[in-house]
Amino acid sequence: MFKAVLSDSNILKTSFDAISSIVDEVQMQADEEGLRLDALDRSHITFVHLELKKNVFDEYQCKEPLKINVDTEELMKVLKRAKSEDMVELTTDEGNLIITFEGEARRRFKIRLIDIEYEAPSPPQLDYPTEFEIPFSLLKDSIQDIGIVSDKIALQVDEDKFKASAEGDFGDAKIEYLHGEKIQENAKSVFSLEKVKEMMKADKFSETAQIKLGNDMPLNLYLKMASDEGELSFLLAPRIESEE
Amino acid sequence: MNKHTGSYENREIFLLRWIEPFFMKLFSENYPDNQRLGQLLIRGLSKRAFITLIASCKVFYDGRATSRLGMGDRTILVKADGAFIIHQDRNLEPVNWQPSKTKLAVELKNGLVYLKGMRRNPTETLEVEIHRGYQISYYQGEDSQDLELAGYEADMGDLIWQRPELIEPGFRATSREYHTPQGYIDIMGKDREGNLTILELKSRKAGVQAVKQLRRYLDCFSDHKSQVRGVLVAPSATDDALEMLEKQKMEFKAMEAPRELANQKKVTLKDYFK
Repeated sequence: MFKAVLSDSNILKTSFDAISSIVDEVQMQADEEGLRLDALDRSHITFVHLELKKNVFDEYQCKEPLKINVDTEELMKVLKRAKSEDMVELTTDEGNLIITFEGEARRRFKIRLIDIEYEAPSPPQLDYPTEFEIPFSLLKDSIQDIGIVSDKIALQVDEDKFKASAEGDFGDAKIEYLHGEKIQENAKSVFSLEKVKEMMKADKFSETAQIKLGNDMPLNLYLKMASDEGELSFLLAPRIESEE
Repeated sequence: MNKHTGSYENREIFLLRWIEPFFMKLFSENYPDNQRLGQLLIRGLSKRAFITLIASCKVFYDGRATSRLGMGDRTILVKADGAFIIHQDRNLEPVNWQPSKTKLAVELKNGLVYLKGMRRNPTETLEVEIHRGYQISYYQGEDSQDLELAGYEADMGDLIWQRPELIEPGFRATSREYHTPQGYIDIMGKDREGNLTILELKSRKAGVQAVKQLRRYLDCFSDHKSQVRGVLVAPSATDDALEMLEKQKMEFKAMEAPRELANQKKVTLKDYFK
């Protein structure tokens, strides 16, 4: 028996908006602790991790561990139908994930579970020279600014500032932000703008973005719900100019 | 002694656990019966493996049009991303195909195996009715690289933009993809004397079409007071194109499209998974 009720439909909506643009299919694992998901995109560029502990939910029951394999596009189509004041209920039956929106009316959708043999990938443990926080909206705006001039973005951090920049054929752009954190090293990596944009769809998950950055290292973007009971994190491989 | 043998066996089991994934990277079976073939297809699909099946079959398509392919021996491919492709023993192109994200299902009916690909937008179904399977194989490969290409007009544009002197000494490139009612001009610039110069780039041998295109761009500047030069830039041009250029007082500049690949290394998270 699995049942999870969430009064804030935006959490699922915003998470899966990002997740569905990264992976086509996903396995959610439910157990008595809560719901989690680990996925790596087909080209091995982006890793995404979602964890919603049972206290995130207004009601949560899961007697036996359960694997829920779904097509993320189908799931997103349904979640898009949620109104912001709707309660969302997740349950399963033989072969379906059942999503119920409770609001002005009770609306119920069934999504067929898919048959995949899936080994949840575990993310690499990396030591980063820097770690800092910036407002999520600032990060998202910077990404859009950079999009005007290039399809690549350089993210860097030094003692004082976090910088996003790009050099394009027709112009350059640079965003600087005084982060006010204790950073002792400089770090810089370049990423595909398109891939960073996919993560930015999760903008309603958290107001703050925690970033770990190194030199030519993957970007670690970590979003935490205010209640501390839910997290969404991403790892994105850098782009490296070879030295030939 | 016994103890020694025991630990030896343990080591073998341990090694096997590591070897198995490599061993199982490719699975292949010849002449499976239809029951078995159905199971193997389901297994390959659920592993999201790249399936290759050689079989005697019929193929039915229904969607934007309707097609039917009678009995014959075919190679059927299902790629890891859901691309579904059927090849006959001739021609470069597949006879039937559906793109990635096709949803596939297997059914066993009246002793025959049905492999069915479904798409919703547009609504279409591609069904293979398999009478006899000769060989099925599937593998789970790792390939995260994308094709790198060079030798296109855009690459020529990049080169000229960076090194305009390659066109002629004193030439300055001032804008790319300049919009005119006739389309976008590849590169516009000024020569040593300050004359407006329009470049039309072709990465292969240019014909009269390219000359006509250049002519149309020049005509957009017919009210320009001073001289406007038109230069066709290509590795070579046909005789009638060269003749037409000369007659209309336009020029030709021979230039090859650069074939150097960008030195961008593709890094994946797997590189950090060590």
